[in-house]
Amino acid sequence: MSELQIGDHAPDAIVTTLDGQQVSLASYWQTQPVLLVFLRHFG
Amino acid sequence: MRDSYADVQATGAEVVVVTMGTPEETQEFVQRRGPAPFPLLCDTERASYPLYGLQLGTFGQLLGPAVLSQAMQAKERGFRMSRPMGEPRQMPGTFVIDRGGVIRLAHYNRDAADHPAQEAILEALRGLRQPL
Repeated sequence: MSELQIGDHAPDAIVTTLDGQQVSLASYWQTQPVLLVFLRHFG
Repeated sequence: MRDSYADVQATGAEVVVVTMGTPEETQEFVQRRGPAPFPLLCDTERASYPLYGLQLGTFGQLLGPAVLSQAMQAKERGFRMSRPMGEPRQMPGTFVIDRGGVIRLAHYNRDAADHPAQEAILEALRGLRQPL
C-alpha cells in the first residue's frame, strides 16, 4: 500500500494488548491525539 | 523513547506502540526492561503495517552504513540492541493522528537508523490545536 500523507485518514486495524485482548487502533485516538509508533524491534 | 514521553504527554497526546512480537514475547521484554508507561500493542500477523504504507526494507536500508554506525555508537554507550521480533525486514514508521483520525505527521524510516526528530513530532502535536 502507498505511503500515507498528512490529511489522509488513519487506517483502523485490530491489534492485541499484552493481556491478549483484541482492540481497535482507532479506539486510541477517539479521546486524544496519538503518537503511533510502529516498531521493528525494541532497540 | 521513554525520556521524550513526558514531552509528548504534555501536548495532551498519548503514545501508542505497535510491535510484531507476540504478547508473550513482548511481556518477556517488559519483564527484562520494565513496564512501559504507554500501551504496547501486538500485531503478530503484521496486518496494520502495510495499511500504513510500511513496507519490507532492502538490505541497504536495514544494514547500510547509517544503521551500522548507529549500532556501533549504541554499543559503545553500552546499549545492546535487542533482536527483531517478527519479520526483520519490516520497516518502521511513526505517525501523529488527531482525534478526528486524520494523519498530521507521517514518518517513514528511510533506513533502520532513521528516526523522526523529536522536535518534528512535538511541533506536529502542538499544531493540532489548529485545523489542517
